[in-house]
Amino acid sequence: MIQMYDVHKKYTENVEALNGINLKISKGEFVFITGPSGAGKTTFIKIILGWEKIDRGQMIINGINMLKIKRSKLSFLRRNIGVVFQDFKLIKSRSVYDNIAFPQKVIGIPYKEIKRNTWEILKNIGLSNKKDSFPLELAGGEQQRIAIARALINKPKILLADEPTGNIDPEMMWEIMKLFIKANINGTTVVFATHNRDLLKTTKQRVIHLKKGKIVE
Amino acid sequence: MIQLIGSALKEALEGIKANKEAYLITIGTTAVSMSILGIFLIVYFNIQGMVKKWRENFQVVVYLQDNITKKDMEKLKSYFSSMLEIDEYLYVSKDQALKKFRTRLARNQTILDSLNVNPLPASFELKFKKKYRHFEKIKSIAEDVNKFKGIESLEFGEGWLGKIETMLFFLKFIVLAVGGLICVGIILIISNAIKLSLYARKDEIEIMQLVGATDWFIKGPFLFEGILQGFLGAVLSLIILYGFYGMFIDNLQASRFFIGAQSFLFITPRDVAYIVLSGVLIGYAGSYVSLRKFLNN
Repeated sequence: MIQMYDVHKKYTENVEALNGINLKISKGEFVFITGPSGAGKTTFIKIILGWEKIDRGQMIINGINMLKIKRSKLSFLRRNIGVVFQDFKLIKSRSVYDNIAFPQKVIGIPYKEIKRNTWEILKNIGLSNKKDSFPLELAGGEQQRIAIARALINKPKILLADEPTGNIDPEMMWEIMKLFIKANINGTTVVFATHNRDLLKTTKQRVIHLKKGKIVE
Repeated sequence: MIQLIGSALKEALEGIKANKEAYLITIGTTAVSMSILGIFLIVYFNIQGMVKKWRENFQVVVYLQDNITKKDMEKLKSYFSSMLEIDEYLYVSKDQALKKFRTRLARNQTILDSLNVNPLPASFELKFKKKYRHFEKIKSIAEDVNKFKGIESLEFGEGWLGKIETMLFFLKFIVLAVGGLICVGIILIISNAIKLSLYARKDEIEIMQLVGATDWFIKGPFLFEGILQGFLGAVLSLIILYGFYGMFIDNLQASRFFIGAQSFLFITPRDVAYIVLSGVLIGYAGSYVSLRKFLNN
């Protein structure tokens, strides 16, 4: 599902954000990416999403060679990848319902179906009573649940998360984790970047440690 | 597809609502700029119309010497008949010329009563086929005719026709130059307004890209915004122009310059359609410029 061979990414001349990454993440796997700040976790997520281009190496996502992909085809790749950020990245001027409906509009799902899907996922995350609220009226945990719902609404093959529990209470953290685990059980490959040690202590999933852009054992 | 267009239109209207002030300023500036262009167009088309009408009635008068021989007269006639450019020619004898002159001077006939001789020469009136009624062609024919024997003089308004044609050429040049500059100006104004709109919705666009929206899906609402700005600017400019036309038409028609020509006209419905279409295209171009730059970054 995700294959990287000697992947390099530099932002400035002397600092390599990713420095020779080699790895394989199989379909349906749940992988944690961890490491201190500046280790390259966010860059790792961004290159999978095609948000940043790699400088060197080979990378295949969902069978697509990321070195050869055209800019116009990136949007179609991203439709199979859901993404969740620490700062939620919800559209503040739109209601909870509209935020979740939005990715469905983008891929041209009919209105009736959008309504049904959105209602269903809101019930699943326990926020159907908040459908008309705006993001800033909600608590951090609620906003993150909306962001996860938005990432999962189009049933992506891969779910990427960049420190999704970084801005929420510890109690809410486990609720959020449950949503990721549920998505994984339903067949979605999950790549979860975090430096939260509590979370990593309890997990039996594969953990990839990054340090200065390299994978360390 | 309909759902996508409907959604893009809805987004565009929301964008307009969010940037109402900037939007109104852009429409106003577009309208004023297009009105200036419109004034030039009205003046140009009216002068062009007048010249066209003058050309339709245009003729060359070949005055003959009193002692022209029959042979020279026949030569002239056969030359006129052989000329492809001449539609018809009419011989006006000395007597006919005097009769015409008397009719023209209807009220002042007494002036002519004292004349014992007919001072007016016989002449040929030459009318030209439509496509040859332009200054350069007529001038060259007149020069050829003048070489024949028995010709007293020729009259074809070479002075004013040449000047008007030159003026029309320069006016056309000015309209094109001013029009071009104004179009570029409006494109930049609209592009700037769209840029503001894009920056205001930067986060939203980023989210659109994250969830897999195509460039066209993102561009759609902004293109509609630009098109609507150009369209409304053009329509408003037409209203301003019509108001201007209504206010000044009486003065313009009363001025000597327009006597005997056609009345001063507003631009034709076809040109109105062209102005509106130009507004739409300029609006599209303005937003496209900003979008290309923004999305490539």
